[in-house]
Amino acid sequence: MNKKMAGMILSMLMVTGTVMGAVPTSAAGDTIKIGLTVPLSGDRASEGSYATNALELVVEEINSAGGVLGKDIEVVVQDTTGTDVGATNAYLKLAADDDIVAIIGSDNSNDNIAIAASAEASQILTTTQGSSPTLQETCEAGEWLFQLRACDSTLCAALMDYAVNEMGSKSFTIIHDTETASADQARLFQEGIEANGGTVDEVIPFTNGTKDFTAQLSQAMQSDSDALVVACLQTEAAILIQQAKALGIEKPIYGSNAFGDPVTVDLAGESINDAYSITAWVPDSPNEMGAEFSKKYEETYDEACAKAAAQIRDHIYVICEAIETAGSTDRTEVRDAMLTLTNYEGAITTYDCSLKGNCGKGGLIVQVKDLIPTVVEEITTK
Amino acid sequence: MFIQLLISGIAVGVIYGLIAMGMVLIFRTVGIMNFAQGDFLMFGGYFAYTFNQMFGLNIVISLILAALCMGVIGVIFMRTSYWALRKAQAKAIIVSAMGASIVLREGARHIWGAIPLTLDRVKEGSVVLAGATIQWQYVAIIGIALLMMLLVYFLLEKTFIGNIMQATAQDQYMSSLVGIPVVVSIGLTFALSAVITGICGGLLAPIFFLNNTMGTMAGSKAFAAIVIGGFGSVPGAIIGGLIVGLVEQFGGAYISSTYQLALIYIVLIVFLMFRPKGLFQEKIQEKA
Amino acid sequence: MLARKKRNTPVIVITAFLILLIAVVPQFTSTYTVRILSVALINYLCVLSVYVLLGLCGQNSFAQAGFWGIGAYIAGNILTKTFGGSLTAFVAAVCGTAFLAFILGFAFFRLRQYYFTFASIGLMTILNVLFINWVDFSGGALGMKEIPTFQLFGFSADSETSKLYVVFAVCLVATFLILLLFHSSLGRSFMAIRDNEMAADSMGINSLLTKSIAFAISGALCGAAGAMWASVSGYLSYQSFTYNQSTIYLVMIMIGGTGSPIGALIGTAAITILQEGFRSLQDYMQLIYGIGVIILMIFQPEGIWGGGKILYERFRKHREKSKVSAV
Repeated sequence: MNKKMAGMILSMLMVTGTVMGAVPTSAAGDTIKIGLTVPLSGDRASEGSYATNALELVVEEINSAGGVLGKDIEVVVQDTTGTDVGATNAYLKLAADDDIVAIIGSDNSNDNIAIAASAEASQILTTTQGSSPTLQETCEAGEWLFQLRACDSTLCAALMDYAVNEMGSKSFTIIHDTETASADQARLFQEGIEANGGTVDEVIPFTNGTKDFTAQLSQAMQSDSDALVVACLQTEAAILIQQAKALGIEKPIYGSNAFGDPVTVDLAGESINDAYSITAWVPDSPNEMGAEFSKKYEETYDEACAKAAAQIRDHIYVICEAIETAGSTDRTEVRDAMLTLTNYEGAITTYDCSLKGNCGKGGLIVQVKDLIPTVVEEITTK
Repeated sequence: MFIQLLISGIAVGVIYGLIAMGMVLIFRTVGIMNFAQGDFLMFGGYFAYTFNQMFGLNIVISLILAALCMGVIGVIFMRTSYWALRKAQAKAIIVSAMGASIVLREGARHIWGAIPLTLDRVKEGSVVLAGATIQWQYVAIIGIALLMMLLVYFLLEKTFIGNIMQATAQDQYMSSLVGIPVVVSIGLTFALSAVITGICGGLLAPIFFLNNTMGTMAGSKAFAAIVIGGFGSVPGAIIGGLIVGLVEQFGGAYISSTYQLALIYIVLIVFLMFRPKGLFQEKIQEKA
Repeated sequence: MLARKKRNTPVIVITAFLILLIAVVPQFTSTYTVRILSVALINYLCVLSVYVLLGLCGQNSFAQAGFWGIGAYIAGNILTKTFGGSLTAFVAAVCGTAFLAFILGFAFFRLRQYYFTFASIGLMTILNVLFINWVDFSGGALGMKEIPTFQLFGFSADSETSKLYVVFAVCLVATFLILLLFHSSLGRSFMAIRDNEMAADSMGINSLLTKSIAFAISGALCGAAGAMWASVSGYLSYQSFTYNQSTIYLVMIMIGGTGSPIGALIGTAAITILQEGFRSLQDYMQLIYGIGVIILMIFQPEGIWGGGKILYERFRKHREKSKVSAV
C-alpha cells in the first residue's frame, strides 16, 4: 500500500513539475541572453562538454571587459540529446524566450537543417556549426540562418589539390563513414581528386558504428593506389589509423578534419604521425587570437582546445559584435547588423557574414608531427 | 587477407561471445534478458582506465581490480533493478534494466567525461603469421577469453559456490527449501556476469576506445550471438559470438562494406527462419 | 449496458479533457509547447502500436521506430516528389507500412517470445542502416528536407497549431478504432494468444495469421505516426528512427500501463514531462530520467494506470467492507 502511495505521489510531483516548467522563468532583463543548442547527452556528448567549457571562459572574458551594450551577457544552454527531434525541441524552447537575442545551433548538419524551418518561422538570428554544402544552400536560401564556418566544399578541394599537385599522389582509395558530414566530405574529396587530374580507384563506405576496420582496410590493401583518403569522425579515425598502421599500410593518408583533432591524436598515439588532414582549427593556432584562447583553455581545463570549443568562442563573439553594431537587442536589427559584418576576425578565421553560407574564409592543411597537428599550408577562400 | 579476417573475426567474436555468456548466466538464473549488459562492458572499461591511467598501475593488475569493482556493480545492479521487481512481470524488469542502462551511461559520463579515452594494451605491437599481421592485443584477447571460459566452467561445475548457483538456476523455490540463500546465489550470478563483461570492456578499450555509449553496439551484437547460439546455452553463446564476429569480417570484406552491420542481422534472421531455436536448442519443453 | 458505459467513463473524461487542452493551450503558449504536444501525440500513436502488439497480443517488438520511419519516408517521398497529395501520402504511408509489417509478420512470428523480440531488434538495425544508406528512398544520411505540409480540401496546415489539430484528429480516430478492436472478436483472439498461445491454437485460432494481423495493425499506426511526423517536422533524418527510440516506446507503455490505451497516453505524457519539464537540470536530465524509470517500475510495475486501478479497486473493496460492518 505504501509503495503504491509513493508511486502515486511521485507521478503527481511530475505533473506539477511540467506545469512549473511550462511557466516561462523570466529573469531580470539586465543581461543579454544568447541561446545555445548542443548535445549534452547521447553519442555526441563530447561536443557539449567542449562547448560548455568554452562558453564559461568566453562569457567571463566578455563580461569582465564590460559586456555588450553595457550589459552582461548570458548563454542559455539546451540539450539536443543527439537527435534532430531533440534539437528542434531545444531550439523552439530557446526561441520561445523573448529575451534571447540569437541562437547558436549544434555542430551537426542534420540538426541544423532540422531547425531551418523553425528559424524562419521564429525569426531569430541563428548561427549553425555544420559544414555540409547542403547546409550552405539552406542558409543562403533562408533569411535568418548563418553557416558561421568554412564549408567543406572549399576545404576538401584544397586538400586534394595539395595531395595531387604538391605531394604527387595520382591514384586514391577512399574509405568513408556514411554519416552525413563524412559522406559529403568523401564526395567532395572525389570531385577534388578528379578536378586535379587524379584517379579514384575505389570507394569503400562503412556505416557509422563500425568498430573493426579489418574488412575495409584489407580491401584497400588489395588495390595499388598511391594514397588513402579517409573521411570519418574522431573515434573511428583513431581506430582506423591504428589498424591501418598495424596492418602495415605505409601509404600517405589524407583525412577529414577529424584527423587533425586533438581527441583523435590522443587516442591514436604514434600511428597518426605523418597523416595529412584538412581542418579549420588546430590547438597550436597560427592565428594570434586563436593561440591566446587555446592557451587559456588548456590552462583552465587541462585538455587541448578542440575545434568544438574554439568554434563556440567565435560564434559568441560574432553574435556579440552584431548586437554591438545594431546597438539594440531587437532580433531583426541584430540580424541586419550581422549581414554588415563582412570582415570579422575570429580565433579560427575571418568571417564574412554577408554571405550567409560558407561564412568562414579559410582553412588549414595540417600534418601531425610528433603528436602535434602542425600547419602545412593556410588556405583562403578565393 | 583470409587469415587476417579470420583472426580479427575470432578475436572480436570471442568478445561478443563472452558478453553473451554474461547474459546467458543471468538468463539461466532469473529467466530475464539483461538489457544493460552492454553498459557493464563500458563500466568495466572505465574502471580499467581509472586504475591504469589515473593510478598508473600495470594493465593486468588494473583489469583484475576492475573485475573486482564490476562484481560490486553487478550486485548493486541486481539489488536495485532486479530484486525489488523479481515478482513482477518480465516486461517490467526489462524496462527497469533499460532505466539502469541510462543511469550507468549517464553516470559514466558524469564521472569520466564525454571525451573518448584509451588505455594501455596488454602487449604492444604485432606479430606476422602466415602473411597476416596480427596485433598482440587480439592474441591477448583470445588467450584471456579462453582462460576466462575455463575458469567459469571450473567455477560452475567443480566448486561448491558454482553448484549453488546452478541449483538456483534450475529451481529457485526448491533451492530455497534445501537451505540455499537464493538472494546470495543470484547476487553472485549477477556479479560473475558483470565481472566477465567488465574484463571484456578493459580488453576492448585500447582498440575500440572508451566512451559512454560503447556498450550499445557490442550489447546488440551479443544479443545476436545468444539467439544464434540458442538461449540458455553457455557454449552456444560462445559459438554464436564467433559466428557473429566472422560474419561481420567476411561479410564486410566480400559482400558489402556499407551494409556490414545489417548483414549480421540478416544472417541472424535467415538463420532463425531455418532453426527457430538456435544452434543449441533448449532442452526444456515449452510450458503450456 | 450500464457496466459498459461505466468502463468507458475514463475514456470519455480524458478525451473531453484533452479536447479542451488542445483547444485552449495553443492560444496562450509558444510554438515550443505546441510542438511538444504534437511530438507527444505522434509518440502516442507509436506507443498505441506497442499497446496493440504487447498489451493485446503479448508480443514485444523493438522495430516500431523503424516502422515509424518507413511511414515517414513513404509520405515524404510522395509529398516531395509530388506523386500525389496529402491524402494519398497518408493512405500510402499507413497501408504501405501495414502491408510490410504483415509480410514480415509471417516470417518473424515463426519465432516465439524472446526469439521474436531479438529478431525485431535485428530488423530495427537493418532498417536504420537502410535509412542511412539508401539514398534514393531516404535521402541518405543527410535526410529528406522541405517536405510540404498537410493539405486537404483547401485546408492547409501551415501553422504549428493547425498541424497539432491534424495530429490530434488522427489520434482520436486511431484511439476510437483501437477501442473498437478491443471489443471485437479479433481483439479477443489477440488476448487469447497473449494469455496462452497453445490454448488459443487448440481453440482454432490461427495464431500465426492473427499475430501477423496484430503486427500489421501496429504497423499501420506507426505509418500514420510517420506521415504525421513528416508533415509536422518537414525534415526527416535517420537519427530519429533508432533502436533507442523503440526502447522509449516500450518504456512509455510500461510506465503508463499495458492494460488500456489510457496507459499509453499516460506513459507518453509522463515521459514527455520527464524529458521536457526537467530541461533546466541540463546534463543531469537524462540521469534523472533513468532513475525515474527504475523507481516507477519498482513502485508501479503495472504502470501508473494499471497500478492506480488496482489501488482504486482495493479502496472500493475496503469502503464496501466498512459499510457492511457498519450495518
